Parts: sequence; C-alpha cells; structure tokens
Amino acid sequence: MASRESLPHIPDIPTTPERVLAEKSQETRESEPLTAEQIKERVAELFELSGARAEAGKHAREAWGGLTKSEREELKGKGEEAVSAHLEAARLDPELVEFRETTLEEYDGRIAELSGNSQVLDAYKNRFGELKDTLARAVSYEHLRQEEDVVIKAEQKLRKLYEEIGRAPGPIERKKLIALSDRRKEIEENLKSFELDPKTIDMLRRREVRRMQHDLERYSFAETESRQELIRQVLPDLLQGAPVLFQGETGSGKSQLAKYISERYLGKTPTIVSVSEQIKESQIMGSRGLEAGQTVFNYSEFVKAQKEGRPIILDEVNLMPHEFAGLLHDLLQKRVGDVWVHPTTGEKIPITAPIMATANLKSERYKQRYELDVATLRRFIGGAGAREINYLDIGKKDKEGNPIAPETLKILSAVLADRHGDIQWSEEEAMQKVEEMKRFVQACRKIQEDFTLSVREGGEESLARGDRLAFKELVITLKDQIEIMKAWKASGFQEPLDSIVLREFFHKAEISGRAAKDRENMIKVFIANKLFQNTKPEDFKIQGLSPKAVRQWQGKE
Amino acid sequence: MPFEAYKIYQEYEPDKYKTSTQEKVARALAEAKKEGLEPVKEALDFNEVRELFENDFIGIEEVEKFTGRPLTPEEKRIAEEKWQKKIEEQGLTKEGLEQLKQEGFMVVLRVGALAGKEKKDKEMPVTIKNLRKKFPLFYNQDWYNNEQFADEALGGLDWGIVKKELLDETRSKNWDEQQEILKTWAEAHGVPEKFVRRRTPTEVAYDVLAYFQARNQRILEKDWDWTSVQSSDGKFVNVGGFDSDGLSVSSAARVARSSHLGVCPAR
Repeated sequence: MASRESLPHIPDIPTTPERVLAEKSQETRESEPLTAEQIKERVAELFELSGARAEAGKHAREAWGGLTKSEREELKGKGEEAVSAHLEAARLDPELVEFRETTLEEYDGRIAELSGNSQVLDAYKNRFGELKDTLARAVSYEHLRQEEDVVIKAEQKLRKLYEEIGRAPGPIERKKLIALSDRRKEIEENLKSFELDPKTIDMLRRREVRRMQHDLERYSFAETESRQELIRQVLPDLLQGAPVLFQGETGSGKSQLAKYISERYLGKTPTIVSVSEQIKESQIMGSRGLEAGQTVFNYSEFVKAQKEGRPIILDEVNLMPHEFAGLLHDLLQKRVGDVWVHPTTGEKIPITAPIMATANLKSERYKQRYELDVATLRRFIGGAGAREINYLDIGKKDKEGNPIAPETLKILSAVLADRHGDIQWSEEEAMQKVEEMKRFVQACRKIQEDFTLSVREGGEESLARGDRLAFKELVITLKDQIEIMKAWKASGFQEPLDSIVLREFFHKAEISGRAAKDRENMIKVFIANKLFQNTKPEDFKIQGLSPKAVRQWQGKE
Repeated sequence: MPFEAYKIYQEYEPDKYKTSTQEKVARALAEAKKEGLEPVKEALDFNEVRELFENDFIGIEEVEKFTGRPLTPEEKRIAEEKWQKKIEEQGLTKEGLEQLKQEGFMVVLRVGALAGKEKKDKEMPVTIKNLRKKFPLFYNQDWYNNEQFADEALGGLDWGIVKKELLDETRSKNWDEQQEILKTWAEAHGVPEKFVRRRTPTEVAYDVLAYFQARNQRILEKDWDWTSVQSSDGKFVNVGGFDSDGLSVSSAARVARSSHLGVCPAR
C-alpha cells in the first residue's frame, strides 16, 4: 500500500463552511443535541450547498464583470453611483447582478445556519477529512499511471528513433534505455502493490467523469480509450512534424480530433483551412498585392501558420483539385528542424508544427468529391499515417455477440452527470432510465452502422440483405446524441427520452421533406428499440410517412 | 440518493480498477490455474442457490415466463448485483441458506413490470390491480378497487427470501405481538432486525402467483399473510386463502387474532 508519507500533499485549507463562518464572524454554538440521523442529513445538505456555492460564487463574479468578492465590497463602499458607473461601463445587467448576489448570500446564509451547530460542523469536517484521504490515494494512483504512461512513451520514442536511423544505440544511449525500462518495471510493481479500496475506486471513477466533462466543455471532445490509443499511435510522429490524415464518415469527429490533438497535446491553437473545390492557389500560398504603391506578397493564413509554428488542419482535403495538391507535396515531406522554402518569395521557413488533414471517405454519397491522389496519400502514409476514424463503438460486441456501445455511454453519462459525477435519478427510477438510455444509444449505433454501409457500398439494392436500412443523407452523430442528453438533463428528466429525441432531433431536422426516407428509417430503428411506442405518426412531422406503417412497427396493427 | 454516472458503463470495464481483495483473488486464481488446480467457487451464485432451493427458487427464467417479458441484459446484471448485495448485507452463507430452505423459505426474484394481457398491450407496473388484470386467479372482490394499496407498484427489481407459509408462532397473535415475534425470530437467526420484515400486499400477491405459475402449486391456500400496509380504514391488509376460488385480499384491525392470520417473514 502507498504509505501515507508518499501520498501527495493536499493543503490544509479551511472548509467552505469554516470560511463562510469566518466571513460572517460567526462562531459555532452548542445547541440542543441532534440525533445521528439529523446530523447525517445536515452534513449531506452542507456538502451539497458547499459544492454548489463554488458555482454560485463563479456566477456572481461573472455577473459583476470579473470582480472578486473583496473588490465588489470595495466598490459598494464607494457608494451607489460608483456601482452604477461600473455596471454601465462594463455593460452589465443590474438585474442579473442582483440575482446572482442575493443567491450567493442565501447560500452563505444557509451554510452558516447549518454549520453554526458545532456537532454538524465537526461531523462535516470529519467527513471532509476522510474524503481528503481518499482523494490523496486516488491522486497518488493516477500519478503512478501517468508516470507509467510517460515512461512507456519515452521508451518507445527512443527505440523508434534508432529504428528509423537504422543504427544500434551506443553505450550511453543503452544506459538511458535500460534506466527507462527499469523505472517502468518499478512503477508496474508499485501499481501492483497499490491497495485500491472501494472508496478510492469510487473517487477514481468520479474523477474520470469529471475529466470527461472538462474536456467536453473545453475542447468539445472526449478522449475515450479508442481515441486515446489512436492519439498514442500518431503523437510521436506529429511531434516530429510528420503529417497525418484522418478519413471517415461525416460526424465521426475527425476535425474535432485534429483540433483536440493540436490544443491538448501540441499546446497550440491550429489554423483551420476549409478546403473546397473552388480553392485557389493564393489561398494556399498567398497573393501579390499593392501597399503604398509597392508590390508586396501577402502570405495566406496557411503560410502564416507555418511561420508562427501553429499546426494546420486542412479540412476535407479530398476536395482539393489534384493540380493544387502538388503544391503541398514538398511541404508534407518536411519534418521539425527542416526548412521549407516558399516557392514565390523564397523565404526560408523553419518547420515547427505538423499538418493534419481530414477527408470524407470516397463513397457513392460523395460522388462529386475527388479521391485523394496517390502521391498525396503516400506522403501522409509516410508521415503519421492515413487513419480511418469510424463512429465510436462500431462493431463492438459483448461475449455473447450482442452489440454494445461502452465509449458512447461513457461520454453521454458524463453529459448527464453533475460536477460530482452523480445523475439526479432516484434508485427506483435509475434502472428504467439506464435501460431507456441504452436502447437509445443502441438505436443510434444501428443507424450509424447502416449509414456507414450505405455510403460505402451505395445503392439501396445492395443493402436489401439482412435488416440493414439505407441512409443516404442523414445520420445521428455523437454530437446529436450529446445535445439530446443535455436537453433531457435540462428537463430534470421529467420528459420521456423519446419526446426529447422527437423535439431535439426529428423536428430540428425537418427541412421541407428532405431526407424524409432517412428519417422514416430512423423512426423504424427507434421503434424496434422500444422508443416511440405510443407516438402518433403525425407527431413525427415527416412528409409521406405512412401512419399505417408506423402503427405496424409499433405492433398496433 | 442520486445515481453514480459511472455505473452506466462500468460493466464494460471489469478490469479497470480492482480492489486489493479482488486483485488477490485474481492472482490466487491465476496461480491455481497455472498449477492445474480447479478453483473452488464461492458457493452462493445463482446456480448453486437454485440447486439448494430446488423448486423453491423462482429465478430469472421462471419470472420471465410469469411476467411474459424477457429480462434485458441490464436487468440480468442488476439481478446478479442485487443478489450479491443481499448476501453481503445480510451475511448469508451457504449454511444459512440451507437452514432457511429447511425452514420452508423460498427465494424469489421480483421485477417491476409485467407484459400486457395481450401481445399488443403495453407493459404495466406490478400492482395488485394489474396482477388481477393479467391473471384470472383472484377471488371475486371489489372492496379494494379504490384502495391506494391496490395501485402500489413493486419498487423495482430485487430478491426476496421469504417463508412460503406462516411462521407458526405468529398465528393467533395480534399485529403488534407479531412484530415482537419477528424481532425474536431475527435475533434467533442472527440477523439484524431491519432485515426481517413483513411483505407488502403486492409482494404477497406476486410471490404467490409466481410460485403457482412456475410450480403449479398453491401456497397460502388456507392462511393469510398479514402485511405492513394499511387500508383506508386503518386496518392492516392481509393476502392469502389461495384456494380454487382464487387469491383473496382482506384486512383486519391490529387487535384482531386468528389461527389463520400470521406472518411469512421476509428478508
């Protein structure tokens, strides 16, 4: 077991109730003794209030245009005029300011009321102390895992380097490699002997949910296992400046993945160049112009990004006409440390960041699109690779062969959860809600699978076999599923999930009869997964949808 | 109590985090396998309990037939989880279960929903009224049509370990005296009081009918199980008398006594 001494230090700062009491200069009091049950209830409330207070404090600060509590007090001390002037200058809404401020005060009031009782405060502090210990163990475990990851990556990178340059490591390098390998073994041993108790596991799982929430908020992307594995594979090459190509269906998250890698792992905001068939050479290399009577060459955003060392994302690179693709060939072969010479200006630009490109797979659906020429494709393959990005969980099955969608469920669970990793379902309703959610995800997965097959194989005829349905234009993406979950959560889970799907997806996708057949097929899939069992055919608002067919799918005729 | 989000997907990551005990067990099993030894399994999984209780085990298959609706993989998983929770919570051992079997207990899986009467009908929650709607096995009575208890649904999927017939000591005792007997019974069986209780009317009806459908045998044929639930006039509801006229639902004042009115302890 990790000894207490080796656990990370979690600072001993006063708890929220203690801080609130101090701010109010209030002391705890001995009042009539409470029963154990009463103390438990109050401590639970205090935990909830303390957690929510952090958010309320943040909201109050935002409403005041970023002023901290002491800054606000100082401003208020200068009088009403000063306050009004600040609100006006910063264009702040006084009504919102008041609402946020009074809400925060009410939080503090209730926290002070509960924690004013010494029995409650002591019990709260004890519980808080236990949580801190658990947190220390969880953090310690995570640190070991992270260190293991770093050591493995470093070892792989060095070995790869020697493979590429085709020589054996010298004595000093060998020593370094052995040291890395020893450290890895040491960490593995530490991990083996790390005693995980149920509370620490609970904390680790909750922290995972929270991290996913952070990533979704910050990057609109969640790093699940399969995506993590992919990143692990391409990252060493990307760090060397090698290009990568992500190919896949619409909505499979290719561009988002490239953006995420750039921001999270390369630490730089990328320049995104949306490629179209009409793209001009000047949009890639730049163009001549006049400035104060002088001819100047204005670099494109693409070249500027190269100069500034920012990664470039060429979105839908397959739309680029072949004659322009050649412009990129030289650049795609450069790596960090190389110099690229601009073909027009002759400026020498050192390479410091990679090019990432995305492409929709050539398909029946995208007939008008160019297929990426072999020469360009080869340059990606010679770089970090041309990788196929499928919808999450496609093809995954459990031991009995039933389709499962663990990664999608993981992301959607994080969307439904609050900041503590809990979903506001009672124990009684949870089972039915989980079931409902799983059926929804199952239906979405089926639609994505059939869509993938439709666009790759084309033609409805070839899809007639099995229970596959043809989807030509519309698919329900992970982003759509996330939006549906958000709306469900916002309804306080009062509305049935299928009525949210109807409102947030079907009614929003209702564009004068377009993709009507796709939407009809979707309904069929959802009904087969026991959603929309009692929805009236007309409520779907799909042109030409046969009420009789819907009732048959619902088993009513 | 809110629901932990990770519970939605943790079944797909069984090896991600293991408690030290789980790790030790896994290592020991791997070691035993290497040595060519067959691991001795914990004696309380479904199959063994089924073997132990024989006809008095109403598990997944029986309940699927009884309710007319197959359990989803998620429900099956929860059933397993709840069983483990129950044996852990109550400290049940193989020996303890053997003793309960000897004393006339059965193990029954209760679920929250029934298939409709006809195929096209919607699923419905398990209530006395819905059970009566689905199975023509109730005595013809209408006094409880407007009673709240008749619409009270089972609380969702869970296991019951319940005595099939009345505990003899509870016969001819009033309701409060029976409560005391239950406490004594709990103590004698080394189980905390809170785990020994009376059933609700819906639970009695469900258990009796499920047993009948699965085994074609009537329980509580001549006796009534006095429940924890009151009818609108303040009396306590009792369910039983499941003879050829059908299952009857009645009520009695807490001071009442009858040799046919007792309690089937439930855990």
